[in-house]
Amino acid sequence: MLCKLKPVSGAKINFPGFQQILDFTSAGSESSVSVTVDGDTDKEYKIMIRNLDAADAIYATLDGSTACGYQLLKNASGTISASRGATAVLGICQALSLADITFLLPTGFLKTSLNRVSVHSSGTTMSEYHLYGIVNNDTSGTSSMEFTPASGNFTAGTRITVYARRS
Amino acid sequence: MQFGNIEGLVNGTEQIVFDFEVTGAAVSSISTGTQESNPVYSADITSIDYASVSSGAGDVAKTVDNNNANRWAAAPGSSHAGRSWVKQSFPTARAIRYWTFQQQGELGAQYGLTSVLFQYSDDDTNWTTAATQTVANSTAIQGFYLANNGAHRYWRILANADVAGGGVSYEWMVNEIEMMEMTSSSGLPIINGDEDGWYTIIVRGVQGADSAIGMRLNGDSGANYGNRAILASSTSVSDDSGTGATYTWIGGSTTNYSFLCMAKIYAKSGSVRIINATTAYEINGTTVTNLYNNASVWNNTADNITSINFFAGASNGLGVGTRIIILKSNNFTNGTQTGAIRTPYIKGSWVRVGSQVLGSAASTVTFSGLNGDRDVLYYLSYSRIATGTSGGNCLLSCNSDTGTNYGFQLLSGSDTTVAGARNTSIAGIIGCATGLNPGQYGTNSTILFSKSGFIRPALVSSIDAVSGTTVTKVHFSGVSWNNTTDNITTLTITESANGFGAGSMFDLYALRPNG
Repeated sequence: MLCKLKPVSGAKINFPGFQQILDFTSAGSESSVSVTVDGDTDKEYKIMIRNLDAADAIYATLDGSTACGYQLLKNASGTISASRGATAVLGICQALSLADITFLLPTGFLKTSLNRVSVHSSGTTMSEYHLYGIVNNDTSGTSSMEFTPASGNFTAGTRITVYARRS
Repeated sequence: MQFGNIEGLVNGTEQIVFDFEVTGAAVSSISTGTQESNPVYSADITSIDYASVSSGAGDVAKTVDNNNANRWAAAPGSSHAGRSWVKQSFPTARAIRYWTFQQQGELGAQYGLTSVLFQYSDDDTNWTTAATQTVANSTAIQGFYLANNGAHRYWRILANADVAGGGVSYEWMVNEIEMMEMTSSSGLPIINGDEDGWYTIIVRGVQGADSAIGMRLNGDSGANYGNRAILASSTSVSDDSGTGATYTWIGGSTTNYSFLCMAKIYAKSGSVRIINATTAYEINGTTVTNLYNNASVWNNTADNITSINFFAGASNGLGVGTRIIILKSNNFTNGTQTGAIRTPYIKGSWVRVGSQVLGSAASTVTFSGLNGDRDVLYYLSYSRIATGTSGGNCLLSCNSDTGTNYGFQLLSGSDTTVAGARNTSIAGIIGCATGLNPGQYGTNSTILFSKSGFIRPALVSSIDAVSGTTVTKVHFSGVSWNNTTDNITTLTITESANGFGAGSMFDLYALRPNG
């Protein structure tokens, strides 16, 4: 049976697919934003960030866990390079950037993310492009996802949208 | 509360807002245009002069004589599904937007069925399904809206199920059909960047000419675009960037070659608009020539985006088979919201078609019962835990084709090493690559354009050999399955050496633009 649905305020629909659990637009007064999650149930999150801050990145963590490592591939002003190292975050969106992030959280296992970040400079100049694979060395269940600017508050207009894979 | 499938705007989802396929003849540009509010439909345009049927008893004219008391009956003998049809052959191409249907004749439910395909053709030989329609097995006159599939000369209703009595003994009886066009609507722009915020844009291009394919926002053809990209071509990895361009590059190459682009854009005004895109292009057979990871910008902060235009640098560069799908984020505050009412499927949104979590180690995971032509796009996501004693490739095969009918162009980063690689003879769509030791992880995301008619391209992202806080490698690839004809009915992920450990999870989603 196919149902044509008119917009109904307050009606809630659940379905096996990607459901939006956070759509945040900063007023410029917030120093962080978080959303309650159940990683064992959802297992995957799609995150999109538009960071309007001119100086500070936005970081994403799960339950505040900081035991992370990354492999990066990037183009910085025409120089292509790769690097590997430790980090305290599972997701990152640089200043003046758009980030497209996927978190994968198999139950009882390490948490990983894939980050694609486009970094704007000014006018028609894109300064950098980053491709990250990141791991969080934490196998415990996930109940919270946090987004925090590197310092101070988010810049007004910054947008963070999260979809959870629901069953 | 359990619903049936849902069609309509659903808050909290990402849903298709634009879906266009080039059919009939190549075009030079495609624009998103306006939505259709308050549509007005024509009178019935069917005619006895245009009518024909597959076979059977009774005058075919009875299907369009505006007399519900008589009917045509398709010949029995075998299942009517895929065999029995009623058709209109218009003298000129017509854009059908609404159709009605009445069946069973006067003899009851055994002569009716529950599913039809509403199809169109430009040559009366090659047919495209505009809608897979569930119909009531009753004598009621049933009406169905149809998305804009363009204008075509031939339209038919093809049985997609057998009659209730069984096709060997029972005819399929059709009393009346009607077909209407849309004559007017009060158009509002389909695209509203300030309202929607996020768009996902998927373009499967088939080159109608040697040409670049570009995208413009609000038709802006000024020098207001720029980019920074990583181009991988064979073993070469290089920077490709520019400022002051007059469009954002999406794809493009040689005539009859293909490309697949997936892009995300934050469209809201107040800041420059940034587009994050990956394109595999210059695809021919098992050769994927280039992989392009691209960050681009539209240097306009003020204007609401109300149109997106795709164009070819050469005339008719957007060839037949080119498909553009745009999904928007539904963030309406007064719309339906995700929560307690349950439905298995929302039209135009990604729908899960398979999910497996391994309880014990396995070397193969299969998703079957698929319909790639219906689904159009698949999203496969998996996390694997390695077992065994040595690392092996994960390969995704279509329809159990494990021949060397696949090819890729890859870009990878491992520690401080950047590498490109091309392979034109591999036995599957490469996923997590070699090098996993027991207990290590790999994760993979694959977007596969599954509709037949042309080669099947895919975009793959993988994180390989993960343990502790170490990610050994990231790799991205554009892949081609060199098969143009077969409908995809199974997808199989195989690990050549390690096997998939217990806890490995695999999820498959389909987009299904037509429901």
